[in-house]
Amino acid sequence: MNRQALILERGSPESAGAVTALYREHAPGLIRLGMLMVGDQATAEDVVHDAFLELHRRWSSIRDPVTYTRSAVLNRCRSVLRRRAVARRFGVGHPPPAWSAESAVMVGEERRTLLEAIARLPRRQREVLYLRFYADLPEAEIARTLGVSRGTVSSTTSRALAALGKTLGEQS
Amino acid sequence: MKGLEDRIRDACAVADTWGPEEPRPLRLPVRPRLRLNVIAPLTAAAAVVLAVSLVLVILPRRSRPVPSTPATASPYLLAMSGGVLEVVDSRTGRPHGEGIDGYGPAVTRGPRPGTYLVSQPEKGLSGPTRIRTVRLTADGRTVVESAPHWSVPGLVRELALSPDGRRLAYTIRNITVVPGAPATVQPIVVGMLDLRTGARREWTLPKAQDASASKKPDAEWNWGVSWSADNATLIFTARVTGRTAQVRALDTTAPGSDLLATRVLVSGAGKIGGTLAFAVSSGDRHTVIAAVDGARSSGRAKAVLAEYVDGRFTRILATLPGCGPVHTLTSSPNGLLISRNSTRCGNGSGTLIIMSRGKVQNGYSSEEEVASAAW
Repeated sequence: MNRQALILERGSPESAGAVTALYREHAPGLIRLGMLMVGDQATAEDVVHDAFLELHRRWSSIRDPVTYTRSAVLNRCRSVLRRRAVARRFGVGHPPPAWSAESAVMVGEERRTLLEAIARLPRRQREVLYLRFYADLPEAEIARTLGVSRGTVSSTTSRALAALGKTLGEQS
Repeated sequence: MKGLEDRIRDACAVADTWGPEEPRPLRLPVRPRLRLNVIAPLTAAAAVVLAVSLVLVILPRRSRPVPSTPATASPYLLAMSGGVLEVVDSRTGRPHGEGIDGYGPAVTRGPRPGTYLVSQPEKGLSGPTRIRTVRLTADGRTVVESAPHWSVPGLVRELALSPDGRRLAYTIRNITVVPGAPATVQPIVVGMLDLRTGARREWTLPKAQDASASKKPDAEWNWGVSWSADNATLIFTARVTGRTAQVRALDTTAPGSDLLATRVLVSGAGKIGGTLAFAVSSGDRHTVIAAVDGARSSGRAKAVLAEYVDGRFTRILATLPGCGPVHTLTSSPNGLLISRNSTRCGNGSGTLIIMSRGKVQNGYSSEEEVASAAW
């Protein structure tokens, strides 16, 4: 959606309409991206919902709402994973990821193995892989989303592929 | 056989079947247009002016000379975790503010107080690497300084500054990745950079002896290079596949460039068993402190810090908390920094341990690997 056509006042009914339109268009894809990151639908929906509320709050200062929202979703996913890591230390569990053996929505052992291997990669490598191979974003867009240089995206992708290849090689 | 990238695409495509077809409704608060009210800002400004005036009038009368307090070590340290340079508050073990991306994996203390040297890969996994100066402010903010900076050909893995702040030791291990093919890893290189002149000197491991290079590219990246107090000897741990791990001393003033034609300080972990992971000099010419993985302590295999005098094990200094193999051991003016990384640990994959004044504490836990740290 063209941002130029959406320069509206923060909090106005018009900006609410623009954000709602963006939400309808992009929320399903972002929820699925969030599910790849955090594993479950409820959390991913909360994350995406919060990101769009934040987009609405900051509407007047945001130049590229789609990239901003994608970054906001990934940032919130990171926060969720951090909180879960703390909770795990106190023995608090969380729902199994959508690709786990416990979940019925996933079909195919090979895909499950691959998604589990990706889930074990460092956070930045996971994000780069999902943005490139799930969201099909070019390197420049991934760099903008993650706030890093294109070189960093390229090297992180290479490192992730090497690590993944090694992990899968060991498993097979 | 499908390529790895196609397999990832195929696996990720499963996500298209997840999630709701229609997301739940977005309820946005519609706020009334903000109206500028001049009374409130004027009242606030007047209050501020009055408060400042009162402070200026009253404070000079009440102020007393304050005894100067001795300078203490900064509570903030830098840790490189998951490609992000994090400022960590050693008092709480938590990140302080937002980390900065695009640097790493090496960080070490800088030549001036409060400064650090950080590696910044310029072109992927085969270098060159730029060495940049990062200043840490008193309140724990990082400022990347534009100068001075240096360039080293190759992907720098570790950095260590000599005690006099003049020479920077580094290790290089380039890796070439072609998706779908095994990674090609170049032999380890230990180098030394004169920060004043930019002159470099490097020592390498003959490829024939570096059998690990093509088989276990991940295992042998770090050799734990550190300086001894004489500013001329580098201490490192040589872990060549099929041989006992050794702590070696490299005299940087001697001729030659063979990494294994160096003096052996410690060979093997000794009677405690396990594997020598990393070592630092303790200050004198005889004593080495080493991190040992899988040492037998109280009947169980643990990671420990052990002392070796003239090549012999003398005592265990501390049992290291955390999980997974020791990844780094760094000596700093404020103590020893040890990182342990494992994706199999329940509480995340990276732990930074601080040993200061004989006490061991958990410095920082991260869901990413802690690649290096400096304090």
